[in-house]
Amino acid sequence: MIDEKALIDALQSKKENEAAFRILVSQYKERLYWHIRKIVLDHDDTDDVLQNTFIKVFKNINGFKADSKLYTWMYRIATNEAITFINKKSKIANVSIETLKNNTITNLKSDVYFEGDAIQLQLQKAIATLPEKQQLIFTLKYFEDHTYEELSEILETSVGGLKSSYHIAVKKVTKYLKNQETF
Amino acid sequence: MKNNKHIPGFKAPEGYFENFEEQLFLKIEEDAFPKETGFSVPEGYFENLEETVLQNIIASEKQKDVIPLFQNRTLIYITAIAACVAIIFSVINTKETIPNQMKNLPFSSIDSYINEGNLGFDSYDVIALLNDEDVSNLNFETNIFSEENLENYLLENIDNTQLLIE
Repeated sequence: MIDEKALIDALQSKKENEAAFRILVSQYKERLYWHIRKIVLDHDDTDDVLQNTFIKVFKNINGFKADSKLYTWMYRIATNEAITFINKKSKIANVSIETLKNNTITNLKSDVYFEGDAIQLQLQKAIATLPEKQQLIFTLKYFEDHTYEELSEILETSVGGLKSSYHIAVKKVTKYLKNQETF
Repeated sequence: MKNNKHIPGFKAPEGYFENFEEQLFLKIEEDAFPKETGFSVPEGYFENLEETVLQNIIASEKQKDVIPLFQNRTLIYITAIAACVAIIFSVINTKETIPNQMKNLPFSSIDSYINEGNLGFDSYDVIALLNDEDVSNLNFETNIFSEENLENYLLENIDNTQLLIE
């Protein structure tokens, strides 16, 4: 794997930026895809958001000051793009974000790119009942291997705030699943 | 049982032991959640992603590129003359076509145009512009309200006392 500093230098140089960008996409495409997919749920929507994320990364790489790690910066862009996408989609459909999410989860049953069982579907339904920020924190903490410190940088929230939001989210999800007699 | 024997120099965060059971049970419950999301991707999706992303970047860059319309002064003059000719022709044609176009406009479109406030005044102002003859010539559809509906409307909306006074 190429050193991050060298990769950033290559990305910021006019001669090497295209080749360096191919390396960047190749290194991060899967991680960013799954990160986005957990937020927007649908494959086609994830593909749109992923493309937009990489386009933004490419266009703004010269402004990247290396105050944070490259991957944290990219995760932050991906998260913002995913949230913006959901907001836009709900506005176009003229429904609330909650309704949009519930509709997407209902459609998962017939989605060819969802191979989850009944419990996994119930978990998605439980997550959808959480407030937007808690959904994000729960999804990123539970399904990904981020530390609270990394999440704190990606979501620009304090570690303490993240911990308490995560614990509240776990309690709510447990309660929902127990009420649905999943457990 | 000695439970207060501490290692010198070390301490636990405030409230750690008070909340320990709660945190532990939370962790046990969390462990029962499914570990995977169940999502999958189309076969070969990641294989050509670099190429697709680069093509999209090139496409978005092209959209941004603006080709200057006026390369030299001669072209500006030609364009200006062409624009003048087009305006003159459109004015001449408009004089003839607007009344015909107005005739073909459905009344419902005019009605909704006015009701949506696009005209700057409402239907009452429009009626004020009509004289008695215009009003009597208006073709009202009187059969759309049944007697029963009219009676119900009057009973619900008209103040009986006011009606008696009048």
